[in-house]
Amino acid sequence: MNQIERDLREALRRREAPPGFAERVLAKTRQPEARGHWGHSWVWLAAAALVLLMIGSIGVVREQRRQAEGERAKEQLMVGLRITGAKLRDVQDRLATIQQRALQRSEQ
Amino acid sequence: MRKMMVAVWMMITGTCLAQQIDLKSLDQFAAKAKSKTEINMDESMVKSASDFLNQGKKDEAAVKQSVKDLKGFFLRSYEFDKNGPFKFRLEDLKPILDQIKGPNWTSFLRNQEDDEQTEILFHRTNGQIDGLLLVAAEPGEITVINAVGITRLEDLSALGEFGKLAGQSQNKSAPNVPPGTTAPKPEGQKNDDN
Repeated sequence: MNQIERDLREALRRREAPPGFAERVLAKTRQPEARGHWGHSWVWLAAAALVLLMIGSIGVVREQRRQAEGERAKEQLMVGLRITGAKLRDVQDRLATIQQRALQRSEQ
Repeated sequence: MRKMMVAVWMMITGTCLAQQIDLKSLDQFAAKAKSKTEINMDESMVKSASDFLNQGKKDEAAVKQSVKDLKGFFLRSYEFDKNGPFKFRLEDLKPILDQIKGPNWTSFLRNQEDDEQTEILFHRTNGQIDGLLLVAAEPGEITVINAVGITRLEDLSALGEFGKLAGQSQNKSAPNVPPGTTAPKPEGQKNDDN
């Protein structure tokens, strides 16, 4: 038996595990599982927050668009009714002029 | 039953559409106009606009009152260069005036002087006013306004003193209109020139 063989035999000699080794190993194996569970929850929470943020943003954009469209429609309506009012006043002025002319003619 | 419902629906839509005048024939003038205003507002747009009117502001509150029954508002107003090559003729209004020949349209006021023409007509359904058409044409300008759903002429008072005149028509008496101007016919009586 040469030196190398002796060293190998020594190195590969069966040794008893230190006390509590099995528990520690089992504990270590449990730890990543626990971290994974929490990590999973955070992913879901982040996804839910993102979805809520997206829904909220869509709502805000929609409301802004609705406001803008409403304001635009209001302006259009106001302009339209102002023109209508002006035209109706023109008509009345014209009628008054014609009436006045007719009165003057009848007086003559 | 289904056929009856379809018939009723068609009658309702037909009545609604009857108050609305097709203003497409005026589109040709848009390119020739010096300035133009075109408004197309259906019921949802009118409602949306009305929701944004501020009751606290006097003018907006008056408009809100005026438009509470409004179901559509369509306006075309074109102003032409008086010295330009294009001259608007009263015959150009024919496609519009042809649409108001039905018995539901009642002429409220018609005034024609030289090359100027003003017409105000009301649309009636079962004797109730539910639409207005105003046509005002002069050499340099044409304005056509179609208000669908106007039920109370007093509402026009918010738009000017004209409301007083309109109120007389609502009372079914002829308004005090001068000679050369046709007054509205009593309710139910078909207009001769329609």
